[in-house]
Amino acid sequence: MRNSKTFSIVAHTTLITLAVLEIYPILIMAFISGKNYYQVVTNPLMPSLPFHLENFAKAWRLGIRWYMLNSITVTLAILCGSMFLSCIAAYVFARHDFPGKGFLFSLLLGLLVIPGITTLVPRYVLVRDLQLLNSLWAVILPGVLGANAFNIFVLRTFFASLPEELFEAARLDGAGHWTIFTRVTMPLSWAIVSALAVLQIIGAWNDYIWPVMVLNRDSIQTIAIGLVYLTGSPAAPEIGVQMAGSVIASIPMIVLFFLAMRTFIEGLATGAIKI
Amino acid sequence: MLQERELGRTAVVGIKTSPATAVRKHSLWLRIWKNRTLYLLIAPVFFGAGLFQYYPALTALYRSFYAWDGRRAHFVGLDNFEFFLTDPRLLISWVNVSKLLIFHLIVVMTLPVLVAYLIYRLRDEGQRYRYRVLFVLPIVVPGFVNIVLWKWFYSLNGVINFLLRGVGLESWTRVWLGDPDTALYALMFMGFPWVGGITMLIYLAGFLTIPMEVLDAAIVDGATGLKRFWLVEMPFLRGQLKLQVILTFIGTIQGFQAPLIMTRGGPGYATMVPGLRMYDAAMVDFKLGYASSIGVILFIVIFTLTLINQRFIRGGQEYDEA
Repeated sequence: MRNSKTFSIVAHTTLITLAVLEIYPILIMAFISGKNYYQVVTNPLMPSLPFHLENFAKAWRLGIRWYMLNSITVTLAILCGSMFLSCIAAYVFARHDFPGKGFLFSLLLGLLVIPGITTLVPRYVLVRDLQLLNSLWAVILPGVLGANAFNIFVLRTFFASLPEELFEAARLDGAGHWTIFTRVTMPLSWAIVSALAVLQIIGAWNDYIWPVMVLNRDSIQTIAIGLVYLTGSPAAPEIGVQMAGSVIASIPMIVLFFLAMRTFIEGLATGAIKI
Repeated sequence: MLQERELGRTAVVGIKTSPATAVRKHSLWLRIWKNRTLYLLIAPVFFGAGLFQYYPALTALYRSFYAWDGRRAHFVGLDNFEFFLTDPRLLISWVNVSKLLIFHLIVVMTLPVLVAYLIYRLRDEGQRYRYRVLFVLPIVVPGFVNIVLWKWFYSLNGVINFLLRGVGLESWTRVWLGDPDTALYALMFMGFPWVGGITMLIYLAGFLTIPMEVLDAAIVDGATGLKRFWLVEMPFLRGQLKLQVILTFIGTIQGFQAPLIMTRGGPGYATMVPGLRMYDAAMVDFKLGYASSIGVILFIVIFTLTLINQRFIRGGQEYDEA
């Protein structure tokens, strides 16, 4: 069927208006990051010359560089560790039978019911008792070990849908678990694994509440804590420097967007991620 | 399934030691031993789930009956839950979170649906893709950056007041987050027009599953415009809507990142939410037992609302078959 001319015009106008309203605040952030105080007060909505790129240097020197390094470390560690464990567990549950499988899987199912807020305080005490406070391990270990249920579910469903003949053939050729996992399962699941990886990266990079509870020492804080502190403290630098810090904090996500978004959008749109 | 039943039987019969069951029992252990590699492969996940999920959850339940400062604890029965009913900060926080919840539910069921629908109705595949990218773009801004940005928008010399002065509404300007009358609404308005991101993509995926034959049949039957939208296309979105409603429940009721960063629950208790009250009870007042009891109540609330939602909002499944 064809759309009427009026419908077309209304649709495009609505979409473009909403897109502009949605994206404009991001542009304002970018504009402000190049302004001094006077430019901000007189013209916050449009770029103005000259650009004060020294804002970025100032933010960088105010500790953003260490915060970024810490965040990158934490995010990569969580991503690799958690995806590795989730993929292996999902492979085991999807392609093998063993005594107690149903019970063990329902134990994982139960995790989806427990909200993060309920476990927050006791987990803090646990991490304190494990002597992990004020080390990056306090963020990495719970991230790698404690939050795999969702990934395992999605991956298990996908692995289970792969044709059994492939696995049969590999087994006949004498392939062990590791070979089947790396040579058969993973190459066929690249799209779904990368879509989950994107979600995992966004989640780890954006995390604020847990890191701010367990990381008090300035030198090991993540960018989320560092930026919020930088913008909220009484000795906060001027707004241009704050926004420069915000732009720097977003750069890894922008890179990720251009690297992975096509896969990610198509993965979601075609329903590769069954939720 | 069959295997589980077998397991159960073995466990029950195993008490009597007849030779036949001894063999079966032996074979169960043998099967477990044979699969030892598999158990080893999934062991880290279960170790982590036990240590960082189940153990803290049980601790929360257990300690909610104690006065606990994180080191010493003594049993106080239901005192925490009693205090819970009289704590003024907590009572206000329930009112606030209800308002936020109603607002978020309305938003999640309207604007992203509209955007997804309009994109779905575009004829051109290239246009569709470009709009999709445009509306997903805002996720490049991390949540905490967005909060910091809007906090500045709301400040005295921020963008909101600048715009108001620009159109001559000088008298309306204020410190939006510092005014008890506007702080909570400012939190709601953050992220306007609330259409960017993954929610919209999930809706769009739902619309794209509508089979061409169904649409053709509906059009032949004369379903056009709003009728087509409500009676033919929207039913296909039920599953996605239901999911988003559940996620909104879960996210809003336990969320407190924005109030923590923007207002710390103030001014007064104007933006206090239960999650933040719990955080303060634990990290500021060191009443970890009381914090645990709030955590347990939040768990019960979320669990109940999810069940109600599952029970009373029908999913898309039966519609597909009909």
